[in-house]
Amino acid sequence: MKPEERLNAGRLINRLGSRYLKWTAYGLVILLTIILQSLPRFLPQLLSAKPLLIIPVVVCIAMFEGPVDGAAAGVCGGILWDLFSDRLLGFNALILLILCCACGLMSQLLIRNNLLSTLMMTAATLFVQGILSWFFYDLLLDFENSLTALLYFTLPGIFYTLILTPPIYLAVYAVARILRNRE
Amino acid sequence: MKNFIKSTAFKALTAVALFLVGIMIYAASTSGVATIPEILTGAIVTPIQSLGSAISDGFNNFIGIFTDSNILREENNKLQSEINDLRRNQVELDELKRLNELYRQFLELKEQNPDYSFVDCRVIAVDAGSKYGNFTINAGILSGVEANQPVITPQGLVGVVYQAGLNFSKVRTILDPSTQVSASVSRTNSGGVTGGSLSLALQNKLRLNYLSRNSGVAAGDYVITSGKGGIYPDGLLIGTIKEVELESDGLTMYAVIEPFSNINDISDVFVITGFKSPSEDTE
Repeated sequence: MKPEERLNAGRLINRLGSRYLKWTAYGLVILLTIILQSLPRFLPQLLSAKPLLIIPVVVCIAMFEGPVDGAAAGVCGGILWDLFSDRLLGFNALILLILCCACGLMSQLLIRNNLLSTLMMTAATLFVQGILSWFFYDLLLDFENSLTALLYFTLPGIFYTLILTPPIYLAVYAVARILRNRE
Repeated sequence: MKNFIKSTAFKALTAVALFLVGIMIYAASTSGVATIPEILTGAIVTPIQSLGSAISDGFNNFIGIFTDSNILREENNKLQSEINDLRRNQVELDELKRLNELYRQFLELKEQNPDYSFVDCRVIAVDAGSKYGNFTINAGILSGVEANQPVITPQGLVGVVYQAGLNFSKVRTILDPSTQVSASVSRTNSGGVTGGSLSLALQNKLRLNYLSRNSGVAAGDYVITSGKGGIYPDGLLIGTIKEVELESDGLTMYAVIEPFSNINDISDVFVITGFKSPSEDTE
């Protein structure tokens, strides 16, 4: 092997190793978030709603890493969320795949990646996911109480999650920065 | 944007999305048994979730030492250094006490119902998006838990298993409108069917429907399972009647029940994996 080829091979191996490290770190962050979100008595309720921590985490990852990697994070987070929820397996995964891909595209093409834009994208993702979940599981199945579900669960859940988004953004930002420095 | 849509990555994402739709259709067609992706993922993630739940409970117990009792605070003032050691030991003792109380309740239940077979479980996850407190427990097919098995606490019925994986199961509580239990009022033997509604679930209550107008049911009566249907054994405590109202059609009545168990604050439950049905008794 020529020295240049050896150097290129070494760089490729380093890049692959960094990539595995990055996705291991993001995978652990997503797993930890799902565990915290599902713990029975970890976070207090607002009205009757609990925060959906996984959504700002995967949106932040999508904003930092782009549409494809963001979609992958959305699928992983959604599958783990569906595992401990009473939704059909794949429901949240499909929604988060599409929304995280869109957030990643927006971040690459249209908007800058900062706390304000992340808050906006998180709010939009929460709203779309909340409305879809409300439509399929409350409006269609339990029409009489659908307004109660919207006012006492869906909207407070969105608001509660948005309040917790800035520290989540800072945490994901710190992880992304460390991983990029390593690359 | 156009380049992204024409790219291989976009085609791959579209294929993944179609695959997820296929999984959803497959999941909707299975009843009672977790899908293969759920089984595989759950087998890996459930032990980690159980560990997280145990750590969280331990932390809450430790914090409880500081917020709980004036007596502990007074003792703390008197014997500061000994109390510090006792606090460390207290955390371990609290866990042992919890287990001891759990097994004492298990023994009581077993003595009262010798035909029951139980599996004791822990609540490891509560769905953040669930309005009815539906939760996940750390026992599944490998422990003998199957779908449509009742879930109880020593206080009474809390729900039913609706999906069982290898080492985890999902439980739908009695507050959920999808959980309907054939029940009767112990004093008058009037029959009905329990059902949840969101407005009542917010108050930790549920309904007992289809009561006849001359049932004689009143506030304060106890509601128990009737054993009809074969899913729930008869005689399981459900709750107390708080009020009785006439249905909108004027033909039947319904009662509002407050469960004996606080559905939103349970950590240890039992799954009844076997019992003798009333028809077996008469044979």
